Amino acid sequence: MASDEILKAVFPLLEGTDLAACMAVCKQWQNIAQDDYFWKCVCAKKWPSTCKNSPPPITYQKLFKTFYKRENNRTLLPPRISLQDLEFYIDFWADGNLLFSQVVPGPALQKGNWTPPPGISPEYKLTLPVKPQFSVPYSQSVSVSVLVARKDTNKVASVIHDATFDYIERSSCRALAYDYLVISPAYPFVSGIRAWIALLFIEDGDDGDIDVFGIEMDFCDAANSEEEVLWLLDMLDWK
Amino acid sequence: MTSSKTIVLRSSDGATFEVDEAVALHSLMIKHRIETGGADSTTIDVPEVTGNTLSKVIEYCKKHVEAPNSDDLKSFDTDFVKVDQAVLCHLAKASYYMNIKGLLDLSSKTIADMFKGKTVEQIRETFHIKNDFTPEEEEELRKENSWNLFV
Repeated sequence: MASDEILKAVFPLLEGTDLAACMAVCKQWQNIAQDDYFWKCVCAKKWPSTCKNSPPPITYQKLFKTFYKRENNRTLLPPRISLQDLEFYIDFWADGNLLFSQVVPGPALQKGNWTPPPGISPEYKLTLPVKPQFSVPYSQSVSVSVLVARKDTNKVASVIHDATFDYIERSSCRALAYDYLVISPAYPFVSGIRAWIALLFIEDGDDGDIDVFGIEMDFCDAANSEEEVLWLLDMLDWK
Repeated sequence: MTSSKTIVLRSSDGATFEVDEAVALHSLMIKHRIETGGADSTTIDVPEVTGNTLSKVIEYCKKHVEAPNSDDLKSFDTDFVKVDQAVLCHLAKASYYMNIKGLLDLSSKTIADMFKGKTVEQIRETFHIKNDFTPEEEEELRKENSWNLFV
């Protein structure tokens, strides 16, 4: 029914999405519709400038299929590091006294490695149980530093530099501190992304102390999954 | 000023149609045949076209040759292509072989409009096309076309 001649007369008149559908109808149609000439006709309607003078560096078919609509979801490439490659140096101070100081391997921070007490929210956070638990008087100012080392390149970067827990969220039993990440100059225009760190505590009723049983670290400004966090850490200014 | 000379057109199934030469010349293929065929070419064979289709093609040519500036030419054209898909394809094919640009453009555009927004399955149904891809090939095509909503 539809001979080659008719198809060749009709295809130049089709919209790109219709032409693409034709490529899946049957082998004869696929053969004919593949000819970039018809895709040039499609592109001529949308971007006439691409059909003037010399052709663009990619085929008209690829041009149309790639750009015909705004790209919305971009999938992340697999990160170059894994938690296995990382070690975190975490230090907490209260008014000059060292409260907690540990080298934590990446996998120990993986979400789900321990079961927090009920009521803790499920966003992507690097979490760590604090053992042994430590207590801090409510009145004291607590500060934290976190450095991270990577085994693949043997370099170190700063995650949090001397941030204080200024913000206490009593309803969720969290004390929060943050610091802005220092990103490598290889990634210009990236700024304003914070590392957040929370102390998870139970209020010790009588003596005004808080008992810290866990730590959570997250980068919710930009990263909300393990893959995204790993990419973000990869982008730090490693030295 | 119409010429009194007539031409006989013979379809693939032997049907003959006598038309004014001016009307026949609307087909560039026939024009070429007449110009190169010598003085005796009064019967032209059109083996690519059946009688049914040829009669419709002649109807088109007649209207366009005899009343090219009439106000109702546009509505004539619109109504002319209100035919079923099979007839439309025959018209397109005939206009291609007989080199009648106006009719080719008209029928191609009408056919092109039938594709708008159709899925692959719907296209196959409309044009009675058999799917000759293997299931594996179809899967491959589906993946390749995942950018496209209509596949």
